[in-house]
Amino acid sequence: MNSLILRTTTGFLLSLLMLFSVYLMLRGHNAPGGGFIGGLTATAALTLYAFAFDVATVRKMLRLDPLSIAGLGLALALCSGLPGMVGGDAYLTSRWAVLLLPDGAEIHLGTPLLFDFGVYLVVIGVGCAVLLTMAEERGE
Amino acid sequence: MVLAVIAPALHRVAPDQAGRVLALAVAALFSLFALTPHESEPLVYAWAPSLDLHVSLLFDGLGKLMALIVSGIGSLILLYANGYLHGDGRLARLYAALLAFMGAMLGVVLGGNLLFIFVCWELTSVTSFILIGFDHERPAARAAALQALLVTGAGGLCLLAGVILLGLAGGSYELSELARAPGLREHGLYVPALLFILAGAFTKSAQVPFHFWLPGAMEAPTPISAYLHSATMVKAGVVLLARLNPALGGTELWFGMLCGFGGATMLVGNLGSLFQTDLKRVLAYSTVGMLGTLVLLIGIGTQAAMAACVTMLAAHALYKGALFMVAGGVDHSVHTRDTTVLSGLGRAMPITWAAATLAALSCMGVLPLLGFIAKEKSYVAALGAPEFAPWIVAASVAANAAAFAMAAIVGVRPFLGRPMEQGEHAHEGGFDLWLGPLALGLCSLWLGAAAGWPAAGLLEAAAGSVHGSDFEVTVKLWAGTEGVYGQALLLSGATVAMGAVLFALRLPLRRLAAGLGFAAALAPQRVYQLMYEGSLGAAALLTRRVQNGLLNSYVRTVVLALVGISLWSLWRQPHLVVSFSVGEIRTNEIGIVALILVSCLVAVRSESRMAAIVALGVAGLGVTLVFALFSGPDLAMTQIMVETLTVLLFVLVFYHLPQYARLSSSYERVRDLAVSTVFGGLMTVLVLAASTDILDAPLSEFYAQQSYLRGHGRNVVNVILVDFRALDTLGEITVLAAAAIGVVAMLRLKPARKGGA
Repeated sequence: MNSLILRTTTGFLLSLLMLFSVYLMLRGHNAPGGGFIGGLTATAALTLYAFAFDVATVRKMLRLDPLSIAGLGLALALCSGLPGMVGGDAYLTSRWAVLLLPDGAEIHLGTPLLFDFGVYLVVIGVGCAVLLTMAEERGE
Repeated sequence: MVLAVIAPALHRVAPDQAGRVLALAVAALFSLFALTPHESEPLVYAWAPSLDLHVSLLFDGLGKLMALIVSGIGSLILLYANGYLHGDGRLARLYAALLAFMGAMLGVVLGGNLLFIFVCWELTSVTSFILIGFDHERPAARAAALQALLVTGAGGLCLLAGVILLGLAGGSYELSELARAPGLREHGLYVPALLFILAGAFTKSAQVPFHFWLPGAMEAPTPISAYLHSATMVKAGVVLLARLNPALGGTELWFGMLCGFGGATMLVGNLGSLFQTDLKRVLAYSTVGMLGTLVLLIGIGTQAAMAACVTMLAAHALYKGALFMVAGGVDHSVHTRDTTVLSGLGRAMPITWAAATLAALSCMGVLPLLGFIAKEKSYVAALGAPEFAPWIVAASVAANAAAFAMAAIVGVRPFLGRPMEQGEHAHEGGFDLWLGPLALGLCSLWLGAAAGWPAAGLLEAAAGSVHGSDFEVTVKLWAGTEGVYGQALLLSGATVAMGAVLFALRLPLRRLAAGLGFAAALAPQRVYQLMYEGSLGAAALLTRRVQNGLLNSYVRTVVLALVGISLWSLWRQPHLVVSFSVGEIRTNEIGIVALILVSCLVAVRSESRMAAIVALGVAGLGVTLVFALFSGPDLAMTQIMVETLTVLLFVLVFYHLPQYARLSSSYERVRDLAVSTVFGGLMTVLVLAASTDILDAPLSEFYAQQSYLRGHGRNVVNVILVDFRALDTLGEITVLAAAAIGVVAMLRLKPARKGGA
């Protein structure tokens, strides 16, 4: 597709959507969102970009092969279960650390967040792998 | 096992010395085993306690004996392989596979839990597949490896079935507990369990009618044949039977099956060895015969038989290992293994000659070697058999006589007589090549002749653990001439005489066998071929039926199966209450439902694909609204994203799709309508039933309460996904990633498909 309007807006939209997807992923623990939804949003954004420009651009932008991203996410999710085993609990038992900010707010950081980030990456990887490959088919 | 991992690296660092270093390491293991006192109580480590699965190691007499054999011969074999395949680039692979096999084999002989033994058992099958097919560029080696894998693999499945049945009958998988379990032999599952286990053990230990894979497995390089078939792999079945004897033995069926099959194998193997001309095949057949003897002895089940069995086991491992290595040494030196050609090598290869002579004498059962004691003991056992003693004795004499002749053919004949024609290049192999057989031969001599009998205590303990109770075993070279011992001695004399006659008549015998066409002996091989081809054909047929490539029929199958299973479990639910009172209905809800229904109808009836897609999208958005209304924001968001991506997917594939046409017949439409109606009805009932409060306290309340306390999160859905049920999610994303690999592979395969069409 060769549309100047689409291209220009997509450039802005992509960063916004990616930011939004990360936001969705991070807030998932307390409000609607999470790795799965965030990942789907990011996939949609990237696919939009592929429509506006072309698949090769998106692939170059990703730097990694989508399947590698999925593998990375899977590995991250797998590893996030390991800290739970330290101390004799079962695999995937959550571990939390509470950060106290100067103004008194608390930030809870835990292994489930890592796990969710893994899910996020897997969804992006899988979605992009399938959609981009299909888009390439169409281009041929 | 650890060694198997480092072996290739070591080989890269020091290609010449790797085998020797590894041999030393295994020898250290050997001495560790030798110095550890055996004990009858198992060592238990929890492996998967929730499955009642423990790794228990049973380092009793039998375990120690076998561990010594496996590690001792193993270290000599590693050394031997170093010399035999010197400079071969694949040596690293050989070491790794050999050591992995050794680890698995140690697991089999030391395991105290049937499930653990089974796992190791399968590991030996797999590693031996790699070993037998070591020359993977030769079709014959590949076929032999496949055959061995299929036969022992099928046996492994039988064994698994037998082990599970036995576990059900005895209430435990621990050998020590099974042996104490009361009433096991009267249990209804005893007979099927026994038959399955015997099938497994017989395939592994190459009993008639499964014996054909063993000679075929001689395609492997000699170090491998020597290790797998003298000392270890084929003994696994025997060890298993010996292990189970205290728990299962002592019944008519046990006696009949073991003696029948063991005896038949003993005769077929030993006599068959005389008709072969290839050194290694001769040895392979004689190994089959020896395995038959061992099974027969376990079947007899008396104390004398157990003593004979363990002595025989040790003696056989020593002399057969030596003979195999001698055969390899000869092959290495003059490049032929044809017994009709080989002669007069003694002068060129004096050390190998000495080793061969010692081993052959032990095999013949000649004073004063270990083989003699073993043979005497087996005669005593045969004479003392509770039933059919004369038959067993006669068969034993015939088999041992054949073994005598076999040993003469393999161990003596090649080294005597006129120097053979191609013999001028004959030379002694290196240190690596002759140390193994010589050490084993000397061991036979030392264990036989040594006063005080250093290993007697061990054999006694081993026999005790096979029999299930301790008793005294007198292992003496000269047992006297009184009673059964005198008779046994007489039988020995007869054996030697008959063996000598057989040896003298070997050429006419071979011609006779060739004249008969050897059809009978090959029959099981042909059955194997037929079954192999038959199962390939059946698999192809099944694939065509089930994997017919129509997405339609896959979905139908899945849906129907789901409906069937759900209905069945609903049927069994005694107090199923389905309430249709759904409370107050608001106007906007009616609107959404109407929207969904209408768009579904449009999607089904539409004549254009585009319209159908849009209609489906509208239905999906309607569902999203439902989620949003009934406080499921996460679901709603997910649904929106999925709908978006689905539309994107459709756009991408739109141009590839064929004309939107009516492809199905009316009958198929009616059928599909019925299927989807049933499915929809089922889902309705399930949803209503789920909301009708079957459980005392809904699970959702638990999650809602615990979510912030223990999960540090207020979004219950997300906390469930990433914390409470994280393992499920992990499984799901794994499946997702695997599916993506599949999809990408399928899409990328397109050029190949074009080329094929």
